[in-house]
Amino acid sequence: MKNIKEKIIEVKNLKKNFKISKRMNGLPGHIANLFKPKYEVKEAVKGIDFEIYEGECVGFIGANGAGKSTTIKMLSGILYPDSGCINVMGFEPHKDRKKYVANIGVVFGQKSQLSWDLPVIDSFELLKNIYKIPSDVYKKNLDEFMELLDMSNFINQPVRQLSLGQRMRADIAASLLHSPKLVFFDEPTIGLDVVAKEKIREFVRYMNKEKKVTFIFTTHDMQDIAKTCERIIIIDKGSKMYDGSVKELVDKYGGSVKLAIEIKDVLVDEEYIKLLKQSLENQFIDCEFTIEDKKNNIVEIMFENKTLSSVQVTTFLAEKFTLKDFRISDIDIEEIVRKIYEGGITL
Amino acid sequence: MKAFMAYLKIAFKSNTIYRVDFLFSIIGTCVNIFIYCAIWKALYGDNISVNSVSYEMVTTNFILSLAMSSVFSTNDFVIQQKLWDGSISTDMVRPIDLRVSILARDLGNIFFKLITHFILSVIISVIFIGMLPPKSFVCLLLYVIGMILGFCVLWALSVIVQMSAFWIINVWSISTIKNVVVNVLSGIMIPLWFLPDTLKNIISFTPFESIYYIPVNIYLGKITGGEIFHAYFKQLLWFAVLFYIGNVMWNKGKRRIFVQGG
Repeated sequence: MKNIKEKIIEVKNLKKNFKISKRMNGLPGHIANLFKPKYEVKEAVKGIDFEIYEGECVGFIGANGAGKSTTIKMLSGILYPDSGCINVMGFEPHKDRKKYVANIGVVFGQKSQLSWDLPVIDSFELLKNIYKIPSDVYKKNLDEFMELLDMSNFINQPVRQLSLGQRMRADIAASLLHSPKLVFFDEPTIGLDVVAKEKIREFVRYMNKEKKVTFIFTTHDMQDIAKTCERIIIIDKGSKMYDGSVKELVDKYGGSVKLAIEIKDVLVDEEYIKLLKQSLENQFIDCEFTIEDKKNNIVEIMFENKTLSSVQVTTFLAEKFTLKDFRISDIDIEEIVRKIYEGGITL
Repeated sequence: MKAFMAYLKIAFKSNTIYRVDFLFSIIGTCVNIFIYCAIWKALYGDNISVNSVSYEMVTTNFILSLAMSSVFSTNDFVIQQKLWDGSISTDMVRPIDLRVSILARDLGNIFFKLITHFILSVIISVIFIGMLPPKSFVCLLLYVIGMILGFCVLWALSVIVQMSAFWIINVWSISTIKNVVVNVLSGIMIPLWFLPDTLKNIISFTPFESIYYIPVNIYLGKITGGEIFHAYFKQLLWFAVLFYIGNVMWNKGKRRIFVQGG
């Protein structure tokens, strides 16, 4: 499948360092810094390789400061890489910047690219002229985005008076007006409520599936990934940790089951939890259980289900304890990623 | 070109939003002109002319150069601000040279201020202070050309200050030094006619007299005939030199772009 599609991005051994000024504490330190500044070199990106194919929707994830935004900024031609090579649609982003950026769309969730003081539509008109978008294409795209992103009620308002959700939708529309084939979204759902996030995910999905736009986006919200991406790249401390399908990650590293039980009649306290753990461990030797008190008499039990079936555990619990209710669920991607960040899983 | 005009229009429109600010900046320009004229009136006392420069010539110099300087809005802090808040990233993903968009925005501001500040403050000054008419209609046209070239020199100078943000991040001090030097050496503060010859000679080797002094002198008919083309050539030469320096700085500076926050 992959070989049929055309390669759109090729990144090899990409590196970027930042110089961070390092000062000593206190007034003497600050004054010393004036005369002899000291710098510390921070390796933001240390040799990343990957390839992205046309029509993919790839999620870039990593903890804060992992280097994912820096990578996106190098891919979009803003930052010069220190070494390594980037080839996007035949361009070297930082070198052929002007020609290259006409073919891509970019959204930075934390920064608006619209003119602060002017109505949204004025910024769109400006973009129409900058990207030399033919009038019919512009009108078609604008009408479509107006509907998909539900923008008609604020299109004539100045950007500074928009809510964050409205502003983000306007920014997203702005990045796609010139029908780019490749789009970079850097945290497009940051700070948005659930409804607004869902709207954006839906839009991304639609553009990806129907319009065959290739998306690469960074996010901290795993729901974004679960609902839009087939492939994720996990970056940690400037290196690539994982690159593959979301499903594979869950299958391979999920492997755990979460069992939530509600206890009847007895009040759950620390003693009770201890007792529960003890009896589980006595019953199922060699198995590890993580138990969390979820309040309201609900207890969450997590265990690996490779050697142990959830039926065994539930039956045992039902016999020994007074259960009111129970629920079984797989560990989701959010928990896997949390474990990766915390170093619990080594890929 | 379309993109250029679009940026220009956006800048023009933005100016019309903060009406009170607009009103006060006209008042500011007028107050400036009145203060300078009052000081020089006191200095002149009963004399009709000093060093064969009449009081009217001095006031005309002030009105024209101050009105021009209120119009020639170059914002030295554009790139600094963009680096500061990270909005440089937005400019870098547009298929247009950052300097072109800066120029377009500057021109948008200029056209707005030309219609409002320049014409209004000149009219107010003519009514309350009085000003010499241009030597001839041709002089007025030649003055306009000199004024445009003068702006080009000032703009190229400002680009150099802006570009230095890539290295020193805060350009406030450099901008202040530049503004003081421009104000003194281009004849806004003291008409260059009153300066000693040695100092005048030194200044003639700098780009500063190209900015205001040359156009004002063309207006007053103090530079005539072939001298005018010599003056234009000087302005163009300085523009070319300063633009080249700014260009080298931009090409080196681009590599140093950093994006703060996020």
